[in-house]
Amino acid sequence: MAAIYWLARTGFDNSPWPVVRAAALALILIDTPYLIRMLIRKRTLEYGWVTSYSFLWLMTIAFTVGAGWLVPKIGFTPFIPLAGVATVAFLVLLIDWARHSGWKATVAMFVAASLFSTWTAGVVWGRIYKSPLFLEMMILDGKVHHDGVSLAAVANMLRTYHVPSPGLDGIPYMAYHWGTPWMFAQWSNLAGFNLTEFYQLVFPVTMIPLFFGGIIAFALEARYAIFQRRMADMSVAYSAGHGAEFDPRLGPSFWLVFLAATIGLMPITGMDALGVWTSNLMISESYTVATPVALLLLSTTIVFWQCGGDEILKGSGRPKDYLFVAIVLPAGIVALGYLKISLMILGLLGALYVAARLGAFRKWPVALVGVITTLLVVLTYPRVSLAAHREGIVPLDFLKGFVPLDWWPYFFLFQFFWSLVYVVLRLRQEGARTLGDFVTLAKAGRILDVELVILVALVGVAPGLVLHIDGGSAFYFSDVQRWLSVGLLLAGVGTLIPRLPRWRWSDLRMVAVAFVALPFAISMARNSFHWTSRMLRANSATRLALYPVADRAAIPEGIRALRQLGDPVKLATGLANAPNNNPVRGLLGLGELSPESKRTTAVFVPQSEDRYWTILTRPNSCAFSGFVVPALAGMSMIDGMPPVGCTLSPYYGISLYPKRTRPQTPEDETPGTLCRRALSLGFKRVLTLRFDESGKIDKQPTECLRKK
Amino acid sequence: MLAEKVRQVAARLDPRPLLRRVEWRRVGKRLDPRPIVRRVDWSKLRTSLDPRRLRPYFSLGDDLDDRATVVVGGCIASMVLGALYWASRIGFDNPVTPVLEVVGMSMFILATPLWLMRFSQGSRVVVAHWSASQPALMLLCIALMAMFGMLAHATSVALAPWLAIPGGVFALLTIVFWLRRARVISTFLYLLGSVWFTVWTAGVVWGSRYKMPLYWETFMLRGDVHHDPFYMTSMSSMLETYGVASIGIDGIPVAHYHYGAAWLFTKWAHLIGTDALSFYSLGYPVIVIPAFFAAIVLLAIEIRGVLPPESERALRSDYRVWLVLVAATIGLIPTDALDGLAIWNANVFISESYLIAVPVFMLVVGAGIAFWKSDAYRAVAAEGSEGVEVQPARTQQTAAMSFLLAFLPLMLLLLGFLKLSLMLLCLSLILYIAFRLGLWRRWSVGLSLALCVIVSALTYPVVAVAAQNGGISPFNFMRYDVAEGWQQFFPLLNLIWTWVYIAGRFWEDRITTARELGLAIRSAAILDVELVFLVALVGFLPGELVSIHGGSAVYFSDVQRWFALAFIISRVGTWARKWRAIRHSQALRAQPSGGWRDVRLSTILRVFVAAPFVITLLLNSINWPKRVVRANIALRTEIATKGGGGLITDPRVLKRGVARTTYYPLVTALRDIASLPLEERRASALFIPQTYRDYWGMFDSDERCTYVSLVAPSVSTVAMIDGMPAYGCKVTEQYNMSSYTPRRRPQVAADITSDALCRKARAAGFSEVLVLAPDKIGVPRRSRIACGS
Repeated sequence: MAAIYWLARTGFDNSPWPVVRAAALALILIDTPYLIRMLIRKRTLEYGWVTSYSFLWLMTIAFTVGAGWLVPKIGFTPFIPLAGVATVAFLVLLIDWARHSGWKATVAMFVAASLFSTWTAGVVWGRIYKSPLFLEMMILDGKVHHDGVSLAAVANMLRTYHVPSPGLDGIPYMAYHWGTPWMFAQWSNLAGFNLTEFYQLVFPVTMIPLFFGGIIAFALEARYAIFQRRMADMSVAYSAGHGAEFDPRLGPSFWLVFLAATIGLMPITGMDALGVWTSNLMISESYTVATPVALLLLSTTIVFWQCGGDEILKGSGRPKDYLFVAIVLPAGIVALGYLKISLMILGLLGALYVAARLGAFRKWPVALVGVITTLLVVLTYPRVSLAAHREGIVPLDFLKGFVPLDWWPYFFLFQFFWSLVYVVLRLRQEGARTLGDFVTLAKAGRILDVELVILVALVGVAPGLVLHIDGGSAFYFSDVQRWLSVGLLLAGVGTLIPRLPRWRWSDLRMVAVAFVALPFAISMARNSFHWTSRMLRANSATRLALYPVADRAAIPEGIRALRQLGDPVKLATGLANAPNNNPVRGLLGLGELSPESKRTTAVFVPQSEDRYWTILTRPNSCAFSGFVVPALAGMSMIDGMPPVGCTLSPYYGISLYPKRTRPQTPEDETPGTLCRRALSLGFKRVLTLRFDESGKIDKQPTECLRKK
Repeated sequence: MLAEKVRQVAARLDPRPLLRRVEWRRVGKRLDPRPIVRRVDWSKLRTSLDPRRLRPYFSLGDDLDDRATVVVGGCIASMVLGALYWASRIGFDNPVTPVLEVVGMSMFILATPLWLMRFSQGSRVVVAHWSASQPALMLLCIALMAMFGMLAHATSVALAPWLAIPGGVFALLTIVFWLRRARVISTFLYLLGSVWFTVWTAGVVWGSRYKMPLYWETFMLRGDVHHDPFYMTSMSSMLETYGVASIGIDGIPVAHYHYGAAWLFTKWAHLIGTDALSFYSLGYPVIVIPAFFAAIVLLAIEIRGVLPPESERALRSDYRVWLVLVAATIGLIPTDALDGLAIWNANVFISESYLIAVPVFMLVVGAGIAFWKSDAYRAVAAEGSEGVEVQPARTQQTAAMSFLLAFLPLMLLLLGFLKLSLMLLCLSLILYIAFRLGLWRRWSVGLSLALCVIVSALTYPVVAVAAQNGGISPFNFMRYDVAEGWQQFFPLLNLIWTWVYIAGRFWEDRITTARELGLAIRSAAILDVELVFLVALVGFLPGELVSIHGGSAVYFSDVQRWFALAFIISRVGTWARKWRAIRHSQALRAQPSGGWRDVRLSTILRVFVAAPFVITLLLNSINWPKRVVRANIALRTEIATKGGGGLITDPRVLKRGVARTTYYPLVTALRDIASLPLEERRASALFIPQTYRDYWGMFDSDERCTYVSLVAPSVSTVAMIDGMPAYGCKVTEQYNMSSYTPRRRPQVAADITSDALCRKARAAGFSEVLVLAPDKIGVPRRSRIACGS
């Protein structure tokens, strides 16, 4: 991913260091849990939730975030030593893995992972939400998605003022799932990025591997817990990885299911029509982070339960078991609320359901924890849910908004496809044939995983069918079941799915299956190229637009033109001549101010400064122009609401501020007025920005002193 | 040996003995043949009409129940279509007689063959001759109707009642006998299903801009109709008026096209005394749609006739058959998705040539099966067998020769003129069967094959449009006519019914390995599968090898759907029986106690998976009719508004509104020309000056200027001179337009003088010019210029 980012910027200002730092941060996040797990394993074979791979991963995330939070306080970043250790660890692990797996498997894994990464890169950078040339696009014509700008603004406000706020006119608290912006701010502190850079480069490089890694880690933990539970001593089985009937390797079926679930077997237009969106899980940072975190928490819970946690129900639980139930799990569920509300709600309901099914509430400590956790969630909800998003009951809202009427009948079938596959295979595995069998199995507690999948599917789809949730965000409820069931399916690949038989041309049934499977395989292949080619086309189009007019005629549009569009001089000239070059660079320069200085300063841009207020040019983007200063300079604005007449979005925290009811007047721009406003909002200085004809910024600082 | 046989056949075909029995009489300057008619033995006729002797014939046994079911379904369809057409026109000029006549004509095609077959069958169960089989007789009835149409045209007498009344009587007889054999619930469901299905077909055929009950009204309002019908009817009009297939926009050079359907429908239009365009919206749907589905099911019945009888179940109560039929036609996935996969239902129904050619193709195959079952085939097959001296009966020989040497070549010729694709597919089938069964070694079959190939080779250049062939273009149809991203699913989903049949047959015969497949092929045990696959493959290839204009490759690739459907319908009973047997033998069915706990999870899964498809099928069946109703109401509202406002069913308001539509004067003037005597039209050419903007700008709003030229020849039935589209209009290469020279300059005053027009008219073979030009207030006025010989 990092290499793709770097290559995509060839010809532009393209220092390798940010890319290397991003890759190093990814290595820290991915390698550390494995490294620690290996070290623990050398000391003991005992497995428990504290030493589980999934919990170690969660702790790594927490530790790095915590380290980032400390950086401004201690004035020192441990990033370089951490990165060095992680890199060395990665190389050691790679060599060790290659030695055990053989060169063929190593090469295959390397090639497959690289190809898969081109797909993920295409998805995350193939739309206008994120791009390796995000700043260049902004400079060129301002055609970038407002999400990238508004989220960077919130993250910057968290970084500068420690308050989640859009920073359009002061920094009021915004009830929003601001966990990811906050984490990104801390990691930016740790690795030395600005937030715009983080969203465009570091998020894809670090969080997308986390997303898929989280699913696979969940699958591996669940694999032992659910499908190898016949083993007498789980704690040994985990550590030793033994079991005659158990093949620990991840075979072709595993990867086939993984690719089918992620890239998709149907053409993208078909999946989009059915509300099964492949790109959303990577363009929504909160979902990309929250899903693996939720799955890792679930994995830890499974390990907890399998490795002695069930003793709690017998009243003989150990302190660490109570620690998990009373602290880790509730804290984890609440933390999920800050990452993505949907996962907190589903997590709570899942936990309550499982506890109820296991009869855990008969034990008063567990019941108390259940009540407290529920209360915590209830208290968290208003702090993370934007009031503007609560738009009341609208039956079938998601279907009406995002699924063409003709395809409604298929919605449940395709939306729940992976859940359905898992449920069917598991029930088949258990030999259930009738509803009576199902009930009997459920009563015996043998299909709790199936019940959980059904619960998450039904509860997840309900909000979108009942409430109006803006922008298709109901997807982030209904899609959770996909990753839960895919994770479980991957966990059970060896036992649920029959091994792929050896190919025989003479077997007509195999030929028939291959014939039917072929278009799906081709679809998957085409899907895997779709986003990548889209990313490359967008890259090419941006470069072409920056090239001199005289050269453009000789260059065809499209991917093939990329070879001719890498001239650094022409690109630099194009950027220099672009309308937003000076304003954007000037604002980025403002971001270099010291944190202390930024913390006491608010920025004011008069409404007459068209060079600023027209930086973003997509339709209806006037509502988001105010976010540009907070996003690029990392400082809050005052009086930064969009001009009168601009149609405001109620979302993104804009509704926290009063709408402009009259045009800005000269009186509003006087230092006195600005200072009164700044002081009332907690700032001591106002930086008024004016732009000359070339877009260069003229900064006029005004010190504001409160009258004694 | 072969030469000897050819001599024998030539002797048999020698007309001289026959001509010697003919009495010739002189009529004017020519000799007319008058066959010697034996005196009628009235006493014999009286005996044969004795009700006591006739009674056994007026009954339908078990063997005919399925055939009667098809007839009843078809008759209901024609009645429903007729009723819907009539209801759609309430408030407009809406005589009921033409509607009743076409319904009767439809019944004539559907019911008469059944009774003719019944009468020829006598007390036997099996039809002795292929020519007395229902498919062959249905073809005969279609031909008879065309001949009556020719007669009606020649005599200017509407002869529809002569066919409609017998058709109605036979249909009534069928319905009465069929109902008497019925079980109430299954019969009721069948009738209800037929009505529902017909409403869907009505929606599809009238839901486009090609055909609609309010065709003229739509056209007159703002010209918002498709140009294809003008193209077809311009050719049939030129054929009627001048005896030349031409589009007639600047003289009448010969056009190459499969204009058989247009010709046929024009002949049928004469039966009810209407014009071709009106018939396209009324007669074509009412007659051809029921015939289309009847032919498919009839073929299935013919195929069932060669299967073990235990697989059969009364068609009317066999819900599986109807489920397959509606799934294959209406579709299990949304219409948009079907369109995206190039499964175009609309095209099937709006292409008259395809919709008539497919049933003819099916009936030919059905007749072929009847032939195969008959002794005549055995006579051919035994011919030349080593070590066996076979002397077949003369009647069998005659039947075989008539099938091989007359019926097949004639049908190929007919199919070629109806739809080229069907001719090629039929020829492929004939050649393949002859090869696979080794029949080509028999002299009679060899001769027949040669004839078939020659007929097809001669027909091809007459009916193939060179401009439609865009040259070699690999996977053209898949690439450009299938929705982007979905191309890879085309072979699987477009040919799905073929695959279903092949998979079903393999399952039925337990063919699981390549070796077993090889054995089955060698023993000709799965010839049916080979034929279905052949039609699919041969139909699939043209569109994937060659660029065929306008997505017309669908008329090759779509045939397999209907062909496979007939085979599937024929086998559904066998498969169901076998499936039950397997389940029974495996004791999979648990003894249910009736409680909810015994509901099988597999059943729940099946319902969950099948529900969206069933719901979609229902939605698809509603979508098209809904579109028609909406369009009808919108048009009525607009016309009523023009008529001063009022109820949209008020005849006075609508009449006023129609008279105020944009193209009412123009269309009326053109239709007036069509009502001129034939001799007068034959001598004339029509000229419409380019200054008449109402005419030449008719299709400008949606950039179809190139097709305006087709309107006048089509509606007026008179060829134009100097009728190419206006200067500056991009003239299409299709529609035989390349037969004419596009304008190189605007029309000038010198081009429209009487002398100039006469020069052009004489050069094109006309002696008069009818000029249609607007007067000062824009009303078109017709004038005549006599140009002499």
